[in-house]
Amino acid sequence: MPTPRQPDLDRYAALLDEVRAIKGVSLGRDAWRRLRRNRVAMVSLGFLAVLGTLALLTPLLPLQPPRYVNMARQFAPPEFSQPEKPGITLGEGPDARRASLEEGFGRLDPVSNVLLAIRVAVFGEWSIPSICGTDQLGRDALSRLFWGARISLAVGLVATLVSLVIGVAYGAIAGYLGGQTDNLMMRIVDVLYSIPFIFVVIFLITILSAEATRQTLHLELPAGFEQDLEQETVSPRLGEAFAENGYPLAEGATLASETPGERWRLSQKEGRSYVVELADGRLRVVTETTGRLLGASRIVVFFFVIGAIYWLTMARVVRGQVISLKNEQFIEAARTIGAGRRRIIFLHLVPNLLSVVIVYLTLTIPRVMLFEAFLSFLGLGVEAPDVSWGLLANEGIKAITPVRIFWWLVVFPGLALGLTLWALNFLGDGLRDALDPRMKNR
Amino acid sequence: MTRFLLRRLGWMAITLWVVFTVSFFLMKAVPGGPLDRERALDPQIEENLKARYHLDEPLVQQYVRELGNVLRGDLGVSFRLADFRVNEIIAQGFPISASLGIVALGFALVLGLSAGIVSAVRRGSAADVGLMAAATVGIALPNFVIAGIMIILLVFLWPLFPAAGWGTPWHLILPAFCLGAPYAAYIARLTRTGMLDVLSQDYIRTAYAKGLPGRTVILRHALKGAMLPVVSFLGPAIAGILTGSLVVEQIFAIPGLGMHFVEAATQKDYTLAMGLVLLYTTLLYTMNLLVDVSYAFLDPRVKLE
Repeated sequence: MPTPRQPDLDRYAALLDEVRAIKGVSLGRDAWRRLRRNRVAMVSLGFLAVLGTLALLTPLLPLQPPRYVNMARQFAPPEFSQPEKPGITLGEGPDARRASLEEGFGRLDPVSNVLLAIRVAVFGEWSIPSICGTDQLGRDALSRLFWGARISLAVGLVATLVSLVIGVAYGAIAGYLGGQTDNLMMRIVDVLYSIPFIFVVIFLITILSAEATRQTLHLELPAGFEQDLEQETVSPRLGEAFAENGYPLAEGATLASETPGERWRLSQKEGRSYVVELADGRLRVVTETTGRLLGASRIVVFFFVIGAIYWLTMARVVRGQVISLKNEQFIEAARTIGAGRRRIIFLHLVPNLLSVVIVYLTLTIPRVMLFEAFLSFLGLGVEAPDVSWGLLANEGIKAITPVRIFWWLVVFPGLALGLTLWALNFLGDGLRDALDPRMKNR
Repeated sequence: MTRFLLRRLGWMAITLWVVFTVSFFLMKAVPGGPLDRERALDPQIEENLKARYHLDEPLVQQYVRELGNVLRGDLGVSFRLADFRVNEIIAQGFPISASLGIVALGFALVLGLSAGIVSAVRRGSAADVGLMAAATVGIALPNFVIAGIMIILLVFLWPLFPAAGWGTPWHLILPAFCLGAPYAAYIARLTRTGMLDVLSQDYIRTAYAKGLPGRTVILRHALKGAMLPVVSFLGPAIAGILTGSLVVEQIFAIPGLGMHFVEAATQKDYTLAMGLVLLYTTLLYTMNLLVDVSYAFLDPRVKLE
């Protein structure tokens, strides 16, 4: 074959360069570009990213210990000076230090412990002053906000993921199989949809924290035991009194105040938890079995139960999408090659559902967080000494009295909840507009 | 229409039955029962009590008996509130919760619609931006936070309303507002979007061209078209008001069904809790049914299947 002439070669070379310069735009990048132009959504995204990082790194931040009770600083308004007793004592040796940290921060998982160690090494005893004030037990509100963020966000994320997995699987299968199976599956969804799940969940949680036995015994205790009740770990004196009355306590039992001055919950890692009440100067112990279902604590049951409510909408949406995708050519092609049903559903259909799923994720997370706050507010959610934003709001509202207005206990948790939910909603709206396939290339 | 109604009622019966069965077996599956007291009972007394409440019969027999009772409208006896039947407690609490809910819904509709209309008509102005910002705040904040802030502002800082309790119309206003606020915000947004769509239609332009005063155009012609999304939102709004009432009644100490439900839940009063769950399910289903039916009346293009 004769070589092409030089002008032709130049023309081909120019064409090749031009083609190389054009970059194809994938769906994802197209959507990201559209999202970037939506300023509110970007601000929300930034806010959420910062919040998420801070929540993850909370043990690293120089915050006051969230569980350190200091009755002298009860209900302190927001202040900018260092507290006199910082709550972390590092002086007297490794054991005392560990005890002080455990008292202030509770028992943490290994990663958090490492972060905490780094924080102590870097900042020592210095912590950010109480710029959000203190609560009824003198605990710093700012640090409780951050530690509560961890739980609130974790519940939001995990429960939403649970609902995602269930909903996508259910909807994809129903949509793909079609016919009578689809009909039946959707009928089940309809029935479940009309049940006011919130009430059933509350009912469920009630049942799951059932008390097997309720026995009250009155303990005779030596004078001065009231101070022991203010500590977070059970003092030897208290432990002895319990053991003498026939209730030996395991190592490391903790006390958490439920109603200040009146009621405490004594929890052990294994076995029974007790509720201790102070009445007429004497101590009453009410025994309860811990509310555990299949060995899982209330929070884990929480995740699954909440996730089980919100999968219905996801299933419906996914089913709609699958039905419209089912007859596309690429599915037919896969079937022709011999792909089985499971492969088609999970390998081909599900990745194409991602855009819908992401939008619903970002719109469901705020609803889940709101629901968790709602339950914690009613006392049916996260239990003390864990903190969540709903619990903080609850304490804030309970503390409102006509004599003094402790506005910081209501405003700051409210702000935190409001801003986060707001950001999630706006991000969800922005994502929905960005991922809308009708807006491609606009 | 009759076939549609009958079919819906049939599904309601099935739903209620599912709820009842699941709750019943869950209750029985958990250790401990409603007869546990703080002091252990004498075994003979416990046996007698069990026989009286039929708790010693085999499970299936108990189930059939309970089902029969519920079908006859007898929801049993409350275990924690002595001497009260569940039906009596419901009869006491229902009017209170109902009036609270209706006023809250009224607030939501009136505030939401007017805010939405004003926003749409004066689009882009300060009023529009301000109202929509307020609406966003209402949606983002949970209703107990709004309640807390309202209490601080309107009860203690400027004492306009009583803090808690029930009895006079003054007691009604603040709780109803806190209950309805998030829905007012949502309705405002929906109305605004709907109105903006409708106002750009040709028939509105014709109405203005005919010389009709602005108010007539908006209220008589435009609003009807914009109402549809609001009406279909009413279903979830009522559901939300029912659940929100749990929290609001707690905060304002209103002796309605919501407070009873929370107390039943925390006090492990199973019969009362289950009775209330059944009641709420029925209420919700009926409301949704009414909303769907009214949809067909509002938009002649909609056919009920």
